[in-house]
Amino acid sequence: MSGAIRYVVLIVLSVLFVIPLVFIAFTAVKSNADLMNHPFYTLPKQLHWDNFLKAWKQGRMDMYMKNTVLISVIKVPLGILIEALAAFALTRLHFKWSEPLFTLFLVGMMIPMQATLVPLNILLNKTHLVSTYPGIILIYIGFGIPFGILILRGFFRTIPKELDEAALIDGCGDIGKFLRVIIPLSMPAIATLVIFDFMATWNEFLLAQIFITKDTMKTITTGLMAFRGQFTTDYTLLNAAVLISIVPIFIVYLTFQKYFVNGMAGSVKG
Amino acid sequence: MKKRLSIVASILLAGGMLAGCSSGAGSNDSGGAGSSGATASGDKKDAGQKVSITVWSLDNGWEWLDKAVDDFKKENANIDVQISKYGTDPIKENLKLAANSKTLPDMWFTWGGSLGSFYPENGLTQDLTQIAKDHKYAELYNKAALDMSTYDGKLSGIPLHLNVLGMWYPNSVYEKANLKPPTTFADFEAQLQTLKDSGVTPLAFGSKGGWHTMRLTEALLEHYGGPDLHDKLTSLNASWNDPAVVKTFEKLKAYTDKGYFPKGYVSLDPQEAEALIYQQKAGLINEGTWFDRNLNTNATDAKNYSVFKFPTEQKPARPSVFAEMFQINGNADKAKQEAAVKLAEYVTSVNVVNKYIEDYGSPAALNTKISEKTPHLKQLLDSANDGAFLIMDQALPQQVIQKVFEAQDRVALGEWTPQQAAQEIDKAVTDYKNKKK
Amino acid sequence: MGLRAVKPWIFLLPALVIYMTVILVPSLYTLYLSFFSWNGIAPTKTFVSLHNYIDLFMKDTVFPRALKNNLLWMIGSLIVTLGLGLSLALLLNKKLKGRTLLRGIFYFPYILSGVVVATVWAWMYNPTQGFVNKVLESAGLESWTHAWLAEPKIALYAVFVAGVWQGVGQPMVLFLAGLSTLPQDPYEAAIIDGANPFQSFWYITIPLLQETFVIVIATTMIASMKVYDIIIAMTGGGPAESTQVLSSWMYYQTFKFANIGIGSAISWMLVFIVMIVIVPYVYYTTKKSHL
Repeated sequence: MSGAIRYVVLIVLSVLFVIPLVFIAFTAVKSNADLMNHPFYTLPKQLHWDNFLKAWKQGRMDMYMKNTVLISVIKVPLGILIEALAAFALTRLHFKWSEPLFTLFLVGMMIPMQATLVPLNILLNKTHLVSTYPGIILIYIGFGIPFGILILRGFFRTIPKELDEAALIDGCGDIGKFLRVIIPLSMPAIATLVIFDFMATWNEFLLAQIFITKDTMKTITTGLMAFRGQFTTDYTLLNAAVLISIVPIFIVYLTFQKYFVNGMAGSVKG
Repeated sequence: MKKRLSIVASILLAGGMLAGCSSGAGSNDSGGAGSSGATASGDKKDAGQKVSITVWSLDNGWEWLDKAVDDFKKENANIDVQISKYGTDPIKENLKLAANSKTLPDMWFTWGGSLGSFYPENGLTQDLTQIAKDHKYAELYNKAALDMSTYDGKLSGIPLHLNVLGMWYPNSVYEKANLKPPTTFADFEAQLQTLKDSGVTPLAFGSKGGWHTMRLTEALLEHYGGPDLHDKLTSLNASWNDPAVVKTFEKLKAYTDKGYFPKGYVSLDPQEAEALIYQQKAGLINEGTWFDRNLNTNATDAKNYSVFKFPTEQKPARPSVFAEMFQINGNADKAKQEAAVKLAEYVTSVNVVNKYIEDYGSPAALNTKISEKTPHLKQLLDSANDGAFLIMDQALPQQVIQKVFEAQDRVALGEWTPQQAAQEIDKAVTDYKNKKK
Repeated sequence: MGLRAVKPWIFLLPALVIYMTVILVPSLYTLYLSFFSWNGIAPTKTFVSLHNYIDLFMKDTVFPRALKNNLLWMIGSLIVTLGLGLSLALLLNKKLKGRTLLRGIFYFPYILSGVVVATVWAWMYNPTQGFVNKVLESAGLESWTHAWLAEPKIALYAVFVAGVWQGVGQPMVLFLAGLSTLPQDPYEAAIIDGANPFQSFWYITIPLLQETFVIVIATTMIASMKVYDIIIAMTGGGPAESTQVLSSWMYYQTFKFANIGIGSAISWMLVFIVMIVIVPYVYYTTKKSHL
């Protein structure tokens, strides 16, 4: 596809895509009276930048963000490590259970979260892990395993076997193979997982609501709920709060999407 | 004059409550929470027995609760209160979940009717009937609120809010159309056409979730069926395949066809319907005692709006109401239960209500002050003095009300006739009863 | 040798243990519950064997519709969301000015919470004050205006459009990652052989992306069976239950009606249906490329 046509298509699509985002931004800086009294796609009559400050305060975002950062920063690398080890075993260590086990992990992805809530609630309460970081991190890791293994297994399978043999010749054991060959070559996959996993953990609402009851430990998604009242939802502050809360996700995305570069730098030949 | 009396009354009551509590502590047996075997007697102010209770409540707009609880803690140094706050839907889910996994807190907020009945029905709440007698709840709380907190003859909750519904309209819209609040049903219907002719949407309702339009449906049902039949229908003691039900749905269809509702109201979010009222582009909406606060935030001022009781032409003329309460965990140990009851009574007491009246909402407590910001509160509360019916989505089992919502939609869309609607709802009732056996 | 056979299990141990504890055992408990009639609290459950499942198909008026909606959503996602994601990835794979910004725009909706997405789109679809109808009217296409979310025939599709907007970021990023692992040699060889871009795409890119396709197809299918937030927030399952999906109906049964057994049965129907399609697909693709 020639460069010019490519650009035109992309520009048109991106304009279409951006429109709802623009509306979200408008809503975030409007006053409630403005929002309720004029069609919602109109420009704000007055720019209420203080909405962001109000949202921060009312949504207790300083405290909740701290908690969410802590949980994410532990969960994401730890989860990826566990999943990588498992995916490595499924693809690189010859054993006949790889497919059945992979299917077993995949089934987990299909289970809707709501179906597991009661048993998990009982489990966490019995082990006194409610409202503890280990408790919620454990649950998050559990739910992230199927997707993580799916991705890493897929990418590991694209890495040529010849490299394994090369590593073997160099005297690498399995751990060496894992650390020196597979992981570095899977950086696009790992970057992808970091992006998705971080976002999923950051935005996770259902489990956080149930398993974190202590107010000081709640996550940022709880803060967002603070704007939905019994009789009315404060959409202006909600949108402002959402825009604040996704900043870290976007930063992670921008940082890690650099790994989506073309080709496998300096590895294949030979 | 009234104020002074109520203060004296509250002090007497408070004194009575305190007296009741210390004797309670005295008779507390040593079992339970593993606190020191110290026999507590008399003065509970000495830090002998520390009790810690967990409370679940709503979050948005409940900042007053934190302050009230702080006040409470100052007066009760030996009671530690841990509040967990939830959104409207999450608290319903989490309570159900906690009930299923036997991890309910010591005290929780809930609505009445079938939203809150799950807990007393399954033996999870403390029976407060005796306490209500001892602490004279009948003098403290609105009767309607107490009734709505009673299940199977037993009081299962301490009433917090009593919300009453009515028909609201923007003064400007009625003035322009030269209208006054209707006194008869025929009047009401005529006004709908007048409003339409004057260029506004007569009925601002959104059926997404079903509960908003339902407020109109139940008003029509009260009109066509009368209080007796209405109550029998909601308690599943009469067949829904009834002319009154059919007439109700016929009216819904008629209003839809005549264009009285907003375009596409069948899936319109209620808040979008409210926006029409704020913009004064619609005539009538059915909202409750909380609506003053909405108007103050989103429209110009609550004073620019008025409210009237739906003309059901029945005796008694009943509005729709619903109560909110605190339920106490029936399986917690006695010390916790007592502390929880004390807290619940405290935060629902006249004093606390008056202190935080700006944000409190519509209190179930009697004889409270009224804030300037909620000019329609007293009118609505008074409208329930002759009697009231429980709002339908709390009066009916959830399974049945879901069918009513579906019927509302299908009739509006022309997929069901009003007769079919009545039949289908009746079928759902039968199914529900069969399951219960 | 003993160690050789045990080694894979050691690598798998952390994942397996956590997975079994958090997901598998609770899910099996749910499966167990699906054979009972229970309200979640009563001390006795009533065994009903397969009746919950049978009732879903025979008596439940919403389940068949919900299932159909999920399948429609799945087909739509596999064609539109996946297709669009792949196209965007291909377009944004080559070096371009503003590539990062463009990728960001298409990815951004994916990180928004479902509630915000639903609200923005519901407002856009508002029949009298919404953006969509206003644009159509200004373009003189007034006959094309609809009450988008209010007509049972089109409501689901209207929500689906919002779903595509929100969801296309995921396949796009996955395909970008996959494309970045592709070796250059085959392309160079193909150009030497005189292949045109389309042939390169069809005969080289697609086969080499097979593993990525497995991932994207599996996640798209599973996500479409589990879709929940956006539907509940945009239509609540209405009007007249016409946009209910399995997850939302399961929520109603479990949390609103306290029919734990039926809710559990719906969950497992979801799993069975997905398994029927995905498991053979995964096995087939695994066999095809000699591991």
